[in-house]
Amino acid sequence: MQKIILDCDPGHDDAIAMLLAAGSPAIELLGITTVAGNQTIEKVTRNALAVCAVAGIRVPVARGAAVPLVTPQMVAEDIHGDSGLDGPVLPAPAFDLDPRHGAQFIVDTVMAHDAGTVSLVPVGPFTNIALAMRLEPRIVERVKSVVVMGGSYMRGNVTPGAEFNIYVDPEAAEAVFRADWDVTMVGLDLTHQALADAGLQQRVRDLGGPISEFALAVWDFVGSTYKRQYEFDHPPVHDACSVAALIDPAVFTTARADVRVELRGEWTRGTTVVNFANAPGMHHSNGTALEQTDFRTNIAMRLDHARFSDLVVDAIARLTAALT
Amino acid sequence: MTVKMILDCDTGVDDTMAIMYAALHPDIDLLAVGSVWGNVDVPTATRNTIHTLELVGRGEVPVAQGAAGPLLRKDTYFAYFVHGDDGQGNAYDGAPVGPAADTTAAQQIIDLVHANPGEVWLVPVGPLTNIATALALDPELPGLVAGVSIMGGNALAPGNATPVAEANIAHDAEAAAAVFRAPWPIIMAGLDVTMKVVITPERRAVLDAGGKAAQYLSRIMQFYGDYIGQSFGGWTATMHDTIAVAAAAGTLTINTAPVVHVEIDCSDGPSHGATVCDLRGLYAGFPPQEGAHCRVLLDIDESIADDVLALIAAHRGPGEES
Amino acid sequence: MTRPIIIDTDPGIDDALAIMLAAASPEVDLLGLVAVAGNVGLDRTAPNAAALADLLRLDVPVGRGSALPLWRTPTHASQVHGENGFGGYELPASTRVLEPGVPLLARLIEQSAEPVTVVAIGPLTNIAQLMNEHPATARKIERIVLMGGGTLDVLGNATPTAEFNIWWDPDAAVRVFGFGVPLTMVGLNATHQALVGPQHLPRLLASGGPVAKMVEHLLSGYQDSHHEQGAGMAQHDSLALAAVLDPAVITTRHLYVDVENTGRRTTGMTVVDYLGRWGEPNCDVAFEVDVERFRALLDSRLSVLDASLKEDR
Repeated sequence: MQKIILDCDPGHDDAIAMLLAAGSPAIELLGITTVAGNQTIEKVTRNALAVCAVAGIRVPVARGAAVPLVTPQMVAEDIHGDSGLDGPVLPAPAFDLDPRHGAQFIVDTVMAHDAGTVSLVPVGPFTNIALAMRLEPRIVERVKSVVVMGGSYMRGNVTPGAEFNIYVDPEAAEAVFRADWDVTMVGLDLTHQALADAGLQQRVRDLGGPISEFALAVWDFVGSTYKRQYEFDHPPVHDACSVAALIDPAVFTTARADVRVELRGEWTRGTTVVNFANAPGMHHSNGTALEQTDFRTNIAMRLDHARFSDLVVDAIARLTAALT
Repeated sequence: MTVKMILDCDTGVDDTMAIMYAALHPDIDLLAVGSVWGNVDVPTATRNTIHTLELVGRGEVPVAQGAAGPLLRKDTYFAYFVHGDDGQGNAYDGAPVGPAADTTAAQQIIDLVHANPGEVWLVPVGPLTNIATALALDPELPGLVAGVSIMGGNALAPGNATPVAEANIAHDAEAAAAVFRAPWPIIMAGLDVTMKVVITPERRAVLDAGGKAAQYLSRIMQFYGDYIGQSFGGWTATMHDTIAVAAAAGTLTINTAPVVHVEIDCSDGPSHGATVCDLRGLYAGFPPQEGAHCRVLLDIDESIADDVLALIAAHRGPGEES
Repeated sequence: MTRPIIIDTDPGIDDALAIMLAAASPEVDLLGLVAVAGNVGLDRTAPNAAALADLLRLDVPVGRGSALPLWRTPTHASQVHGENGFGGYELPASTRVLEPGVPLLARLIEQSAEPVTVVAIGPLTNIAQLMNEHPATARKIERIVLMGGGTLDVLGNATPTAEFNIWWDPDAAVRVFGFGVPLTMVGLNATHQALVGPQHLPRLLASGGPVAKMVEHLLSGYQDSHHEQGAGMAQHDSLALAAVLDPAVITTRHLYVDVENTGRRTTGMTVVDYLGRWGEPNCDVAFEVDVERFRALLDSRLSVLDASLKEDR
């Protein structure tokens, strides 16, 4: 089993990631930490507890950073609505929060477990992770791997060049990519392949039960905002892709690259500048590309949609069975 | 009416003087000290801080170890060439010290500020990493402190780490940006004033004639004054950090200190780490700036040096003769 | 009805093919060539432009433009184009007198009865200087068709996010994209589809004349075709020319494009509003390429040109 801490800002696709992490027999979900991102910290934290209540998830939930480390805050209500999880009915929380700050929870948990056993899965802005690194630098060598949802090597969504999670706290993102641990970047290039298409939604519908209903309501809402904002026919299930990688590494292919976050550009603040080790037909050997030769990051490339769908369906099925 | 204070230090020679002053002054209630990387690495700063407090009979003041490096970047910049390899001018007396507190510098700030709402001055005199960390952990902090008195930055004076930036700010510009942007009252005791209050050999003699703590301070200042003296005409020590303490304590006579907008340059260009102060009101007597909350010290009475040295020189430990 | 064009160029292997294509095409009236530094230094690109004009028997003025970017320090791509810019292929040195480049651009634009299309296949320094020094003249340009930039699947080649021409002088690019003259951007995302190897130019190579010989050498000498060994070499510049000759060779979308020139690692990136929501459209951005149509165009035109040059000997 892979021990993970899921750091998230529910958030529609965060909710699906929570279901996958809690429902998969290959994952031991040590805790959930929340970070401001899709909505304010109060809203995303309340949403995290609500998803736990829907799905019968019982793990520590710790509330984390309310604002990015240096940048003023922004939220994504155009995609996720005023509550951050508009669409489904959200029950009241079934348990109290862990009293610790999310970053402290991460530090305590990583230090308490054996080195090389706990992976971090940040699927919101990386503020808590950067803060945890600063609170206890030793977690960098103890963490097994970091599988993020964020960035892109082709495009942005909040600006033409920047993806939302990185854009909200680019300094934190740069600190996470630069640290000496194993990072996999699951960016828009991969997650735009992970569509909740008709086939996947039907399989989930066939499961029946309150979790199935919840997931469909999630996809219904975010499907409509994605249609309006990005002209997608089906919503991408971004965050669950990162969790999926820890269940089954074959769920997507990867390529090695040196990733740096642009902090300065007028248009490109928050852009992940990805220099692939083996870029086909490319000579990235000019200017600052010469500094980007530390090909330590794994970039998620091509998704096996069938495998991914199987994991999501299976996790929801198991959680549903455990409810009864 | 005592002023409650939490210091945050990268002890450091001038930090040592600042800690002594804060610990000994009858009108300062030194609640705790946090250590930070900067002049030296954080374990050395922690040790030197505890040692200094014990030396002046204030070993009960808790010292919590803080950040080992900048908030977000990887590179650390130490100044052993200024403060000595031991942070005490290569003259550390080797005395064993008591333990540090079982908390972090950032958490210590949060806990004490909440326990003393509206009363505590934070006085950071090293890189602002711990303060920014505390802010990140507790965004309500700005509304609960009395103020933040920073040794750092430079408005009109040249820089020291770079031509236009002072070391504390330059070495963790992102932390400084977060601290200066937060809505709390700030006093910036920067190079504009701290380079003008100098410890000459004459002033140093006051310490040599004082008690053991003062003599120790004088000894550790030798190496420091040799380095600083290169910017002046001979052995000279500056007392940067103590100015920030005195400003918070209200023991400093301040002549010119406008409240202005201050922004930190985080860009990586030649002015990285510069404190960009809006001093355009200079020619009109500094009209008020809406929303500004940083009081930038531009001119102070340098007799503070004599007050500080006299206080430290007067201290006698148990068993010491006057 | 021929369309007057001026080519601003840094020959350059793929520039050479583009100039040949222009010389071979009756739809365009090539008014002149203006050299800019870029692929190699101006002391190479200017004589190369002149030597090409000689080879192709072009009776047009050749200008010597900017050696340096507007203000940054230049570097060159000699590892791609070889030290002499033609992958080692030697042409006889020209004895032409070269005019100053930016004044030549201005003169040709002013003197043309019909509005001129400027085909910019090197860094945009000359064009930006024209806009700065002769803005009224620059506004008379009908359209600038530029080879530069990239989007989505291929953002950059010089750096991960910047294509070489834009990267070499990003401030000039900012000026050009923001000036207001209609633009067509043929970027890497399009040109990387336009792969041409010797196998795609059978008629030209069979012709065997001076153009054929040079092209054969150039296609084997270009160092950018890593994994594309066998698939061919991306014909960046001649795709831009081809788009002028036959618009059906590419499809475009009218979008807003700006250039990043303040980023630490992203300077030179063309910021393409691919979703159409961040700014007022100012540019026709190339996306798809009809590769077969492009190859056929190249082969047929160059083989006819080659034949005509053989006969005149």
